[in-house]
Amino acid sequence: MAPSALLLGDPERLPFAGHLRLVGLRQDAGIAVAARLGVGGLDDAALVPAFRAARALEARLERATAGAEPGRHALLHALWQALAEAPAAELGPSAGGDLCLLALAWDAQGQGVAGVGLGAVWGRSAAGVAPLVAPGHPLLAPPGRPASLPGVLDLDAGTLLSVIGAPSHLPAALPSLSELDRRCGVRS
Amino acid sequence: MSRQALAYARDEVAALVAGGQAPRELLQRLANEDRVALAEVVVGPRAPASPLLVAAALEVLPALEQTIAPKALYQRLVSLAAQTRGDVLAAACQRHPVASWLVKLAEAVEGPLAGLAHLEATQGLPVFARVCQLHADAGHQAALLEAAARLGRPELPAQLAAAGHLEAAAAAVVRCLERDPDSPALAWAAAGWGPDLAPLRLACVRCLRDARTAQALAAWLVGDARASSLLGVVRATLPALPPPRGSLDARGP
Repeated sequence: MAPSALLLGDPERLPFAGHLRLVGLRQDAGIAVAARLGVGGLDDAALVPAFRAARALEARLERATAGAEPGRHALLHALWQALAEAPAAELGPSAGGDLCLLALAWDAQGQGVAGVGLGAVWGRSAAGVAPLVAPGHPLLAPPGRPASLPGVLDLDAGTLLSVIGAPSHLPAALPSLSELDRRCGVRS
Repeated sequence: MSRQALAYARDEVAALVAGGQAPRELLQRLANEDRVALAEVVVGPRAPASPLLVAAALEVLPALEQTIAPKALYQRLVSLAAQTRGDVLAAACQRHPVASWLVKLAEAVEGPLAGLAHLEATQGLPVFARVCQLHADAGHQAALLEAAARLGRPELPAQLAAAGHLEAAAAAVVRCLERDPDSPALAWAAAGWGPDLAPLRLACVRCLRDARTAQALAAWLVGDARASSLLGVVRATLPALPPPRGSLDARGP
């Protein structure tokens, strides 16, 4: 099973406004992305713009990663490049300034984790779920399109089954494992 | 009130309802003078099971609620007469629009459409989304679906989706679009469902009943090749317009 990237939803009645998730497979490489456009506490009028922005970004990232070279760094580069080239108007009322994104790319040599707008990131491995980085780590960058190419947290191949991110506007607390899938909008 | 006076009040209520009269004046007097006696006369074990008594009781609800917990009061009023159950439920919805005990009361009164009266009664209130959530969590899918057809409010599919009722959520999206082709119901349902929208979109296509709604849905499927392709196939088999609305939707999720 391909690794996955998950983002916590808001603890509100409509938790996944502006959320998207995709997996792109390229030979023995791939990339999993979870992202969100729109800050916490979206009001009703913001639901449709957030939906449209998320779908547009989803399509853009799918195209970009489908055309990338089959390597983890190439896939991440294609992701950031596509984001940089996206028209601001396509990224919602905040022009992408509220973007939260977590990506896990992999190939036969290793895994790479990158993101923006995250308050905490956890990794799920065969051993369980644990924080991937400490507070202050560059992976926990502020929301929005990055001004320059973000760094990559490089890991050995097969280290993680999934990465879980908390958008920076949410408490950096991992839900209980029994709640985790539900809080990330994973439907069986 | 003395035991004797209470007995007299009970007898008077019994005589009035036996004669086909609602004991309005008596209950109003008790509401002003002795609320404990009022409660005893209306919902005590010897209260006559009469719709006339319940109708009169509905006019003194504030006084009754000062003596009896609302949950118990409305359950008892519902049990007193089948003819007035709907009125009791309507009063409960109006006075306690977000009370969780309304879920069980609605089930007792409305059966398979439990929740519909509550949803319709609160549609113009800020608590409507919370009411949708209450009934979606309680599994009252038929009521939410019927309400979607009648009201077209996107909160209905959104809360069905948030509660994980995929097929009902999709059917509710389609009902909202049938009512208003510009409805943002799918965007709302997506916000409740989660980021993997493929199952929700495909379920929406499966629930389509007419070509006009198929066209409305198509605008929300841009970028989803699989759902758009299925939509193209399904659309060719559909009548031009939605089926006429009866009192109830025959086709569920």
